[in-house]
Amino acid sequence: MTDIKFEKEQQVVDQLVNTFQNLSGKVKRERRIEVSVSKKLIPSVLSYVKDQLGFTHMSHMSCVDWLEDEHFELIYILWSPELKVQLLIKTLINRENPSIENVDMIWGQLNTYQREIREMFGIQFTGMIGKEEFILEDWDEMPPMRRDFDTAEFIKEAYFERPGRDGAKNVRDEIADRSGEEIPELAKKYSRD
Amino acid sequence: MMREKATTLYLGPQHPGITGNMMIKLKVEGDTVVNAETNVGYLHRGFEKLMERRNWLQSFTIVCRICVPEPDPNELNYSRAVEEIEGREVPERAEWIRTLVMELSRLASYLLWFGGQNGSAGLYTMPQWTVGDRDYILDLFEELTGGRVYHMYIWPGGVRRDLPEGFAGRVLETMDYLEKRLIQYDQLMFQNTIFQKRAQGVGYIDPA
Repeated sequence: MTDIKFEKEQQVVDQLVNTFQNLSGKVKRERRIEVSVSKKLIPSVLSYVKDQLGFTHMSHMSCVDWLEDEHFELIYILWSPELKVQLLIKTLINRENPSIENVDMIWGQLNTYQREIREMFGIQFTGMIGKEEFILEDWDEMPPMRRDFDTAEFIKEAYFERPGRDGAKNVRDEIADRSGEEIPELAKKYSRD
Repeated sequence: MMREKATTLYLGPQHPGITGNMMIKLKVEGDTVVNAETNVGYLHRGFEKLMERRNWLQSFTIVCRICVPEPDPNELNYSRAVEEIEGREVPERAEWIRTLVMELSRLASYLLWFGGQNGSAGLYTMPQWTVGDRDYILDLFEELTGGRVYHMYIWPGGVRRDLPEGFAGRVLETMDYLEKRLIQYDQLMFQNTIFQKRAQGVGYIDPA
């Protein structure tokens, strides 16, 4: 299985590696290529793959929070309709004062994705025009999709318990009390507390 | 000649033509849409945040709720991603069952979309027909998985249980019935002069 060479995928990787420095790429499987590059080269790499290599469709842009490694990872997912190959361009951004250049002049839909990432993760896109508020209204806490945002704390502060609903916190215990049955040992480790 | 003033219309989160909650703010001059702004926040339920506090296996119940008309592709994508990370192989029978479930789900979703499009154009007969016909496919799903809309059937490693006895025969019966109905849909929608006049050449989006 590992002897099969995916020719056109490998060709794309070779062209990218030869054109840009500090770019590493590999063919993951059929029709899927992954490329890692530093954030300063992102605008040039994106224009290059759109104009020269035929990756004209920008499918998605997403962000991963590597809390333990202290960086964010931005992933641009592109598709080439002629070669029928999907390309993932990954880049790392520091978690302290995260910022990267705006690229929505290349594809218009990136404006929406960048606004969402700015609101949910707090990454600044320098030079982007767009209203601050995207989905959240009157929000003044930390960006909510970050992994160190404590949802349990937020719920306790923002919402109050309806009276008479104390038993709803731990439904399994409540049912066990009312019916007189015991929770089996193997189920106890799946409690959230 | 006096130019008509532009009015703002809200194609709001609840609308018979939209299968899902999305708001589009339209600026309309007479019969032409001049500008459209979307507001998509109504359906963001924070699934990624929810999954942070759950196991790999517990999360598969959340994933199908991303899309109402067609929940199975989300389950399949999630399962395939987990299998690729683990390096696990799926048995062949499970792959075939997955294909069957995905095709049924695609049919159900297209029927709903069909009706929705016609509903927003004003032909309300179509939604009545397609939602009714979609019910037959949902009956099949109920027999197979226990749930009509959200199935929670495809999980990392395969599918949850085997097909019931005689299932293939019932699927074929439903397909024969739907095949006959397709001719009527075609006549009502695609060969309808009013629909053709209203829809041809309108709202063309470039693939670039």
